[in-house]
Amino acid sequence: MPPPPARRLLAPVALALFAIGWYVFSAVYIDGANRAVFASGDFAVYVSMDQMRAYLSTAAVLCYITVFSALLIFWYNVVQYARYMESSSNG
Amino acid sequence: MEPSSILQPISSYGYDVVFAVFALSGFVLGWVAQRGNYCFVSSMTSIFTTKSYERFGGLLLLFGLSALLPGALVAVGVVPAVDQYHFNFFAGWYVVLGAYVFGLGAALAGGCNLSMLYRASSGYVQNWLELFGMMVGTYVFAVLIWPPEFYTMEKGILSTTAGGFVEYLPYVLFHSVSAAAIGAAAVLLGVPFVLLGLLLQGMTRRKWAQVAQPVAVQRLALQGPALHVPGPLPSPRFRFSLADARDRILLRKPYGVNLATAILALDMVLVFAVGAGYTFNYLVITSSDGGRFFEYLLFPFGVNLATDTPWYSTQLSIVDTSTLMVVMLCVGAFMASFLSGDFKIRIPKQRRRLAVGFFGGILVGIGVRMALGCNIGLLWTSFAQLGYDGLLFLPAMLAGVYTAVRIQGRWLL
Repeated sequence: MPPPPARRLLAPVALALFAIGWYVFSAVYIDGANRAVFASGDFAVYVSMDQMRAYLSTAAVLCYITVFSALLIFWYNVVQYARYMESSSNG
Repeated sequence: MEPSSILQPISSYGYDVVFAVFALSGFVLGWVAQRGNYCFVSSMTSIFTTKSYERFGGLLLLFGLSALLPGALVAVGVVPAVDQYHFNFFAGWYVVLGAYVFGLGAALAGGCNLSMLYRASSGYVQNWLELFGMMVGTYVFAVLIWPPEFYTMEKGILSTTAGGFVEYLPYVLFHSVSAAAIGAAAVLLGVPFVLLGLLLQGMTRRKWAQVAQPVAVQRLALQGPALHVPGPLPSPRFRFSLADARDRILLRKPYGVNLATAILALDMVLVFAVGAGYTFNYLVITSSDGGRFFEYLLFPFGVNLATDTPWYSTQLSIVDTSTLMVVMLCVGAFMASFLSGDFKIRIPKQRRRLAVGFFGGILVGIGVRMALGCNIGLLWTSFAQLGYDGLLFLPAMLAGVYTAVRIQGRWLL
């Protein structure tokens, strides 16, 4: 039996990092850019504080859910990998 | 008296719920599109290459259902009419030309705005380049094409000078936004598409059955004496069985065209009802967010296109419900491809496919922005809006796809 491909372990980690990165990017840069367009008086593209707060809080919840799901998949695959290593060393 | 232009939320749950539901619908869209391999462009290319109408028929079913279901919700008073027509865009030369350029670019690059995202999330490098090309194309559009296009929209040169109820079919046909007018317009728009979709699928299935039958008989003859004369082959039409349902839930089998179509139509209804009164209450994928993500890429370098660049500074809000929808679409597609074992980084053997993907992506970016929306946010959405932009977009996109098929056949294969 061939070993499980490395992507089975790496992809969930990449997904978790993406989710965290997206939230941090949103809180730092998107919110910052929104304040900048407000300061420049460009209300055509400005997003109200109410909507921005809702966006950030939803992004935070989604970040938690995605990271939790990704880690669940990661640990499942770690167990599968350990089982493979165990069976190949016994066999 | 003119119809109202003031949005009316059907409930006061607030933006938290709206963002969350849009994100959920994006996840569902990504998951189902990946499992059903749902692509507007490949459903059109299959007409010209294999003469198969199975997937294109599914697309027409989707349009028909999307006209009928939201139309019914408005006609019975669940959602106010203004929430259906408020976001109808302008219509004009740019929809036709943009749809043609979009169809050409998407077919060359290998994916519409929906399949580009779920394939990129499933590891297709060509679609990564298409996505980046689309971002670049959006910038090219913003700087070079948007100013003259906006001029024609303002002056009404081959263009309407307003959207909203002006493009709402009940108002266009009956000069009314009453329940009866909306119901009648939904039936007039939706039923022909449903019937045509079913007819085209039936034609293709009969053709498959005729082709497959002699092959099956031949196979039986090669295997040994037949114990009985085989009956007609089972058609690939959707039949419910618990084993099938289990296999699809456990990701062992892909979704059929019509199952994916039904789920996507319901996804549209969910967003339509929950987003009503708050935001653009339709599924909207990447046509705006392609530009938005390019803008985001530049933020860390201290560049904010929203402050000084045409189109970005007037048309593209910094963030929108569609932003999370697109992000979660990618997450949903990734999860579906990873859990089903489909996920793999795929680099095409012919390296020129990468260049074609990028160039096609630029055309996609220019085309979708010129048309004021993509195959999701304008074509599909227009049917749910009971507008007529989709009727302009569809034939022009088909013409673009046909041109790409001819180009690929002659020079790229």
